[in-house]
Amino acid sequence: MRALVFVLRRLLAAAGTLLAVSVVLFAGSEVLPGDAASASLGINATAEQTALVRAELGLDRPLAVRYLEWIGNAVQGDLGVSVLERAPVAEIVAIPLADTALLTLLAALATIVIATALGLAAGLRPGSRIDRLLSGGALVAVSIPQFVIAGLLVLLFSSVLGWLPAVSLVPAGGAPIDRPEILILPVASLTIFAAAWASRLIRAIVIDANTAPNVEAARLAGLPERQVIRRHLIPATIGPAAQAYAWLASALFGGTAVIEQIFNYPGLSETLVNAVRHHDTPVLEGVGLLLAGIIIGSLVIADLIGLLVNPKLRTAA
Amino acid sequence: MISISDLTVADTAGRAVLDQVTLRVEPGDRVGIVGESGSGKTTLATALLGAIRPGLRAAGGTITFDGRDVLSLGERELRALRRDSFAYLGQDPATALTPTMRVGRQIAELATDPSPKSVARHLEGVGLPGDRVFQRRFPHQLSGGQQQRLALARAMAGEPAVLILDEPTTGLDVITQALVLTQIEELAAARGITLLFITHDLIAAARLSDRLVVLRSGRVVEDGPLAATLTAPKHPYTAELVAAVPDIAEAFDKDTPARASAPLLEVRDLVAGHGRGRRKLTTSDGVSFQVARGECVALLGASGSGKTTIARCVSGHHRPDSGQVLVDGEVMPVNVRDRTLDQRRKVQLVPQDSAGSLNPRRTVGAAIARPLRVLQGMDKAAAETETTRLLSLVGLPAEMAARYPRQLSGGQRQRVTIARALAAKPELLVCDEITSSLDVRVQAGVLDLVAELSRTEDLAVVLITHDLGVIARMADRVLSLRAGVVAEQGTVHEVLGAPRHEWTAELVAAVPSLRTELANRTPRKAGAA
Repeated sequence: MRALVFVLRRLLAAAGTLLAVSVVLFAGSEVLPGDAASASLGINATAEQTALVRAELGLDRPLAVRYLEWIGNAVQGDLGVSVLERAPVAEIVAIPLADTALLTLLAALATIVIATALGLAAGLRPGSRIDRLLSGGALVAVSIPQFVIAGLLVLLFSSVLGWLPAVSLVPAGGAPIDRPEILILPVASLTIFAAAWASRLIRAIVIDANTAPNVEAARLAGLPERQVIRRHLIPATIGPAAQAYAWLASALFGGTAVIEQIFNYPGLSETLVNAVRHHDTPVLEGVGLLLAGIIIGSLVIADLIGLLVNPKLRTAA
Repeated sequence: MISISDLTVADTAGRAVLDQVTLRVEPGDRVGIVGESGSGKTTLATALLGAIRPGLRAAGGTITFDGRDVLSLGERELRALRRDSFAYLGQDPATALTPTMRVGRQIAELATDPSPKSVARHLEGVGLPGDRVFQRRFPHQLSGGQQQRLALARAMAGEPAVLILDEPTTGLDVITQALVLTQIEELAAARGITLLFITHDLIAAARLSDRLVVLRSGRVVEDGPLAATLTAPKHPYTAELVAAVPDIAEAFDKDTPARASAPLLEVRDLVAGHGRGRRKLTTSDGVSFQVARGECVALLGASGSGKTTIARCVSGHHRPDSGQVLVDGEVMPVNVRDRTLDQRRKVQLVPQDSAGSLNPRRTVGAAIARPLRVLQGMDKAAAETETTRLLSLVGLPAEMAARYPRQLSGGQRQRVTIARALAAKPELLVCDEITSSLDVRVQAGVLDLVAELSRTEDLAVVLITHDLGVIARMADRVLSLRAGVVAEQGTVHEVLGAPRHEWTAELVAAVPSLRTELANRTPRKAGAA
């Protein structure tokens, strides 16, 4: 019962946050100078022509009315119509979003596996040689900009060794998944940065759990080390680790924008760049809302994982 | 069976944390090992289990258990030793329970026989229910007292021969403390377990041991039968330690002089709390009391009973919802910022957290000089001379003025906060748990100082503490608070000697006393070692 209330409250709060984000997103893209009408007509349009197109697009109505219409439709899955391509935003965005999601998801999985392993290795023995080595390595990896990492990887694996393609050429009508080898370098570039960062967070979480009285007591009670870690230490780290990885999701999405450009990967960043260039506000708003939804969604998932592993929250008092 | 000989444990700088400790413990012995902070007692406790903290190393000597050298055992043998022969119960035992593990599992994991039946037996052994439903519970679904029992059952699950207790009652309220000690005593007696009780609390040690070992700076300074050691200590340090322990029994032969003078502090119908609206929590509800000049009134109550809120209302740091604070018959503005300099001077608060209440970027001298200059209008030179005088008054050398708070020990810092309060030439000193983090000898020094000032300067003192021994030693009168309401008030003799309120009575009954402990005692084993 209490757990159900917790879940409902969390979902409600997430919906509220998403709504707040949508307001900021909508207001933000509408107040930018220039709009779709002037952008589509070019610089030689007269004021009358612009006004006509504005009326046609419904841009002359008050901001609040347009927001309510937009969010009302968005809730039903209709993100509006692209000014540039005269096609539904949902349709335009679907394929690039799937491609970006594939890239991000693979990077997230790799990050979770690598950062958890490294974080555990370092956190269980703080100050040891392996910890210092990983600390140093992580600092280097985080300090180097992602595009430099990507460049170095390309230099090594495509230019020198020739093992992997330097750009993500996808045959027309195909998807990146058809040529898995093009995914390797972009995913690696994203993962190196994210795993370095996340492993520091995991390390801190592990150190915290490792010095908790219950873990120290379990050791002094003579339990085998593996059992101490598995049954007494790990359960305490899952909740905080889920939080850390959820925050990582937003960092990864930010990272993909750069990486996609470098590798010429067909994803959302291309769509966004075009939309910004042509003042295609419906596309910008639609993509923004989707990304915000994904990030808030991953935080909700993290909270639910935290709920599952915490008997105090899970069971009724 | 346990034989420690010439054990020396040193830190990386080569300083000895344990210095040639030699100790023999026979099966069934109940040995209390007492020492102040820094005496090496926890190092000794864990060394017995073959665990030496990172940064320390065994520099010499041996620990043998049934002929095996504990410090040179391999990992597997050491684990077996910890699992089968020793049990360790650390500070606040309930924190040793892993919150994600069910009750049954907590025991089964360590029990020689992990069947539900045997687990039930272990649970019943500490007075917990053994049924299926209970075994399926998580620690947070148990009461605080049940958690302590479960932790004890967990420690006993491996049928240990030796139970090492490392401050297991520190941080517990007196009632839970009494429960834990009784439980341990019964179990140990029933199974003939050897007890090594390591603590800073002489009274708790007296409650549970037959033999007392006194540790000072890593050395054993005294080792003898309990009663003899307490009544006729051989080492002056032990004598000092025994004398420093404030005992509740001190209240029984204390009479409080009646005071005719008008009260210095008068608190009328104070209502105060935290939060607002639906979350409102009223922590003191209609509290009234008076304190005369030269008098010490103690506020006694469990945590959350509103003691600190009252103190902060008196000093003007907390806004009461209603009621008045009068000093010298004058109604004080509720906010300290609205009080005149003279009103502020009269009431000084010595807070509990001395580290947090001293600005880390100001020297001790600057901290003390400030009230001298602001409240007393002294010039720089005069303030400097007075700072030196105040430091020596609280027993600190003049050079301390140049130090920063972090360079001081906890006891020294607490003295600085007292000196700072005294710099204002207060008429009322509000002391909020000022000795709760101090070692007993340092505590005695601080208490003596406050008592002395109260006598010579006619200083009125409001004393907040959870330690009934301190109240017995210091206070003239006691206010017993229960859920924000004054449950009873009277002289120390009346309240601690013959409590009328149920809760106060329970509390007084739970408090161990060296004097009564020794009086009721029939030695279980005549002298050891």
